[in-house]
Amino acid sequence: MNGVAEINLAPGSEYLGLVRKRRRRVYAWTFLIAAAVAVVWGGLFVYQQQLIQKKREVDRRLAAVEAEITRLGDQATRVTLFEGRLAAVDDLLSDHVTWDPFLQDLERLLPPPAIVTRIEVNVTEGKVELGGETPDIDTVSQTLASLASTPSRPTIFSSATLENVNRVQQDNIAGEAISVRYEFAASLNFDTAKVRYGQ
Amino acid sequence: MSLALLFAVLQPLIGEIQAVQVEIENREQLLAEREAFLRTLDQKIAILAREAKHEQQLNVVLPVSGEEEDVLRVIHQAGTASGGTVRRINNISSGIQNSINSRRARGEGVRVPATVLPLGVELDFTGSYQQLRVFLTELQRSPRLLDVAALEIHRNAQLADSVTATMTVQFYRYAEPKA
Repeated sequence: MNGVAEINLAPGSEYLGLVRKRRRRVYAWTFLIAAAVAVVWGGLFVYQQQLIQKKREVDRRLAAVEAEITRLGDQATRVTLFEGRLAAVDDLLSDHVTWDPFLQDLERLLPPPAIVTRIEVNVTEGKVELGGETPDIDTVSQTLASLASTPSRPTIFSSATLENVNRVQQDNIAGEAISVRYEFAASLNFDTAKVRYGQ
Repeated sequence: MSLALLFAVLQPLIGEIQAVQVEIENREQLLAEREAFLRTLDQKIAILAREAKHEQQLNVVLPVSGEEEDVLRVIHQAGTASGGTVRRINNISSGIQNSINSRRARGEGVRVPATVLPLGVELDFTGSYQQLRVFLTELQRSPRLLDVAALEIHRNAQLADSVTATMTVQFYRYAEPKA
């Protein structure tokens, strides 16, 4: 500036100073973080010891109550047994199966010419395999339409799916048809809540 | 580095604390239940002594032992009242229990409470459809709690107006929870 050139007589000393400063900063931060972690760990450790103490206290009280119940012996067992069974019966009754709604709906909804030859009901899955006979194919269609629930005409059966229809013909000696019937198989789904008491 | 410290030092401790907290919560709940039970025990013993018939009824509805003979008697009475014929009775209790245990193991919903041991018989009933309806109604009126859990009805080709029904009758006994 005033014509005198600045000469660094110890090249690299400025860099070394910066490195030292940075190292000191790293040490300081490390120390701070370690201290913070130590403080948090200490706090958590004390809290954990308090919880363990509390657990011991709860265990002690629980043991005392159990000992008192055991001291009362047969009477306490009798009450426990009664209460346990009552709760179990309550649960079982809410799932108790009644077949009346199912069979009543089936009887009510079947068109008169249709004859049921087979019913297999799975209450757990709410599925029915139905087999029957009708004088014509149209009655098969009427049967399925009548069984399946619609918004305007609710039934227990949420859906009805045709599996197959077979024409069965009996001929006389001359080979003329003397009787014709249609055997059908269908799968139905039903609302299991309607066959359970508590639902 | 702070993350490494957090995971290495604090995380295991936090995990242990959470486990102890859950344990305390469960034990406190159990303690509250047992204390409430003890508080009302005298009252309950007095009620049971006064209303012993309810306990006797419960013994019939859900006995502590199997009492299969009670169910056989109910089936016989229902068969007689209906006018139909019970042709076969098979004990399928172990099959029902195995099926429920497998469903529990698979985590599927099981309707039978854990304190109840399900028992069952499979039977064949032959008679008219109306007789079958009466049979089912009579079973439903049984003092012992039982459920017709599965039902198959087949028309008998040889006999007019005759059906054969195969059904699973499920009944129960109370199984005290293990301490």
